[in-house]
Amino acid sequence: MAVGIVGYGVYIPKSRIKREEIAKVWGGRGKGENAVLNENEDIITMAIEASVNAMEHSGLADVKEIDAIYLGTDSPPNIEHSSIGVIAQTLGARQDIEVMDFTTSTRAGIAALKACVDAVNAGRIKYGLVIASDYRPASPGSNMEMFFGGGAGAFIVGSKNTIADLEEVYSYSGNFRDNWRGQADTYVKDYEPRFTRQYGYSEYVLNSVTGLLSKTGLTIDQFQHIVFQQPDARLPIEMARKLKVTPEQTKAGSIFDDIGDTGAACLFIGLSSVFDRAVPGNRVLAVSYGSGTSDALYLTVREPTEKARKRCKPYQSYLASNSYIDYPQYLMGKGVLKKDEEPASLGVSPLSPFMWRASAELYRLIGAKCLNCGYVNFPPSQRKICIRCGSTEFKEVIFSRRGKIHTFCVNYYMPPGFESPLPIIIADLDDGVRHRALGTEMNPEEIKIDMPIELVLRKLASENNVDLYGNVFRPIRIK
Amino acid sequence: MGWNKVAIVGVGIIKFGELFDKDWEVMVEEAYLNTINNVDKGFDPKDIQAAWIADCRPGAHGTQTIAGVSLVGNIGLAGIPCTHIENGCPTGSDGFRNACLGVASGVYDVALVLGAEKMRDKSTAEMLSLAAQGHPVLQRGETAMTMFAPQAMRHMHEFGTTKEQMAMVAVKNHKNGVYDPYSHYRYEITIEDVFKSPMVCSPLNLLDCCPQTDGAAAAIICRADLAEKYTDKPVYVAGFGMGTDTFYVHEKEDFTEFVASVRAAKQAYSMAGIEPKDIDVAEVHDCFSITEIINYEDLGFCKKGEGGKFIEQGKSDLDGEVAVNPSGGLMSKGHPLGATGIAQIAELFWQLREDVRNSNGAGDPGVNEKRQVKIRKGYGLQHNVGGRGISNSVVTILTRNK
Repeated sequence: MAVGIVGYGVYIPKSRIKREEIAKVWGGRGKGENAVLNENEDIITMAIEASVNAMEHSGLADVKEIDAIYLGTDSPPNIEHSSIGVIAQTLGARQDIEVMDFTTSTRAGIAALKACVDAVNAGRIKYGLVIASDYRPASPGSNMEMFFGGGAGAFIVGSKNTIADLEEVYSYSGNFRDNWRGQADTYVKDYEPRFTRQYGYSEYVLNSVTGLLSKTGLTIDQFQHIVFQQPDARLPIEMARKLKVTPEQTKAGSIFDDIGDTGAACLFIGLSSVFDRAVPGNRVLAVSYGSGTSDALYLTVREPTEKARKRCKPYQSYLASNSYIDYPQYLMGKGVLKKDEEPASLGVSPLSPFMWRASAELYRLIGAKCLNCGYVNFPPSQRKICIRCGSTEFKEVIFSRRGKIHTFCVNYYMPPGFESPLPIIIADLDDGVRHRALGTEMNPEEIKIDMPIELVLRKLASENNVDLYGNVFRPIRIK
Repeated sequence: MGWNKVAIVGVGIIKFGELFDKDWEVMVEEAYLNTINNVDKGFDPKDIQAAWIADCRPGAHGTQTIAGVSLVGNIGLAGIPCTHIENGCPTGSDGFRNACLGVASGVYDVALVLGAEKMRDKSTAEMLSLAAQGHPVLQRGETAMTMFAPQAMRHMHEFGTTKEQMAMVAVKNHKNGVYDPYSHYRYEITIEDVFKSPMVCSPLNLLDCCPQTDGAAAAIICRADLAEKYTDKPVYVAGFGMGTDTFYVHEKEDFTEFVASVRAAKQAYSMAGIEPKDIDVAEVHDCFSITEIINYEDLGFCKKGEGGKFIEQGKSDLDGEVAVNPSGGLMSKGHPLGATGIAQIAELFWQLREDVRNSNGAGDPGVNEKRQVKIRKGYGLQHNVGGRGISNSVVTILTRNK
């Protein structure tokens, strides 16, 4: 039984900073750019968007078919407390599924993928959703700031209608520290890159690849596409040279110049970019690295790639949808540059039982459709009597996530803790439901009545270092 | 013939403004004294049998003195029943309505209703922090502006209402405020001034908005048949109404009207037995310029969609079809939530008695009388609309006709 990838999806944040902007402030040279997060994004919101795309691409009829959610990230918001809860609730997954968090390394995504493939192989699950989402914290002025970017990729893993099968894996590990972040550290640290490049990445990646080749009896030229972990611009090129890999082989999966080092998400995004253009029969080699461990994965591209491609939001479409920001805006997005003021305290804390009662309907956008008059009441946790007709019988409906603006405003004077100017949008969704939410990634000057918009989950606020999530409107990003 | 079961025999307000030098308690005391000391035939506080205190955001002055004792306990009336009313922007007018119900019930002969709001003891940022209250997601970022500005957008979109027309409301009301000794602002502005003022919440500029104002106002009401004991010129409550709408913004059906106002007005006109054309003078809720334009329509002064033309054609000027906001309105006089509705009633009391010149002895009579409206049919209309989701409205119709 061949187990592999049934569907894939990526998410690349819209904001980009050119590395030369960073170099202007801190010196050095900067070529290329990094994809960076807005203040209201994190690895959870990115993971959800990538997962939605992967579900769509897989052609699976219902998210309820998913038996497992595995998440790999090197930058979870919490050291204790899984990020999967919000993701699963937003996607509408069943509750009797396996959930697993993989972290503490930039190979966390690949570790999650391996585990999921094993679970399918073992017959324990039929379909699993594996997500890699990362945006590692880099100190202003550090080497890493020049490289770190954000992004996410998601795979639906299964054994039927795969678009790529995982044929073989070879891992090589040891006790090696290059990058690390202790419990008391805000930012990822490094020690001596000249030492760690040579004895870390170069050593382990070389060993995992040569190990895989020897195990499979294949030679490097038999792979049409090769994706290396890309912690900087140089290491993958040096490795390619050592392994006699041609630029043609790495072209499709090279993402560092466009979005930066996306850590645990790097190989998911690189592989997705390969799948966007690979043809059936192509052999693909993907090589992870993180903290003294490297996995070399051998995959074969299958049918029906072409057919599924129509349902795909390709990596290139995310690349093309961008917005350049300057260094201060970038720091604001990271929460590093901010006014010295207390944010307005929330009437309802994210820890309140209120959020426990309401989160599923708020994240997933579940309404209560009146069986008598058809009006969709929202939120159902507060609406047991139809506000239009008084009936008490309802059917659960999931809102359409797209619609058009009915009316709006942009508030330029918000209290501390709010984005300002802040668009507030009232829209009619495609299913006729009227919804009100904040706007994001909108130029205040360009917002118009009847403008098409879509709802995405974002971070709205934080209190006691606990994040509050909710859906917000943004202009439709990828058609 | 109106309802006329309750009469107003005395009113009093204090000079509205940023009253940094006054406690909430002092504002209340002054408004109370201005009321009882200006009853035509004199007034003995012992006649007050019950009181209502209207205060929308008691937390805003820090001491959290909610409940009825906050009024009677501060003005030497501890002992009589007193109820605290909080009901969004119509807090003052709803306090008045409830006091009227109390007197009309026959349980009380004479009652005091007093509204007061301290808006400036907390910083602007703290006052705006309402945006983080309420439903953490569905009402996130919701302040008064973010509920009214989308109405302006939609009204402009559907009816071609213009920014100029909205600015004309601010210009008119600021001009009226010059003649009101109690008004927070007393200067004229131009349409250009409105356009040049900072954009606050698109499409509303700063001068499209009412200010943050401290203030207090009070009224003494009694059974209509007892009014002559206190004055020969009582003003009667011809009718009132209160309308509500759904709670959340996403539950609203129409963003070009305030359905709560339409409902309140319908009840009030029906109770008073009159039509919109019978109103000589109106004090309406101009928290934002667009609000007054929509009010013209909701209150029946013009057809739906024609509010912009109504102001443009001068129909709401002091000498127009219906003089709207002769006091300067919320925009010039200010909007201390709990006090606003009662201050509007005080203005109508003077207007209908054609006694604006004196305004309880405040200001220069020669200046004051410039805002006196010619009273023809004898009816005045008071209106507030607001609350979360712009979900409640009170309309009160007063008359000098017995």
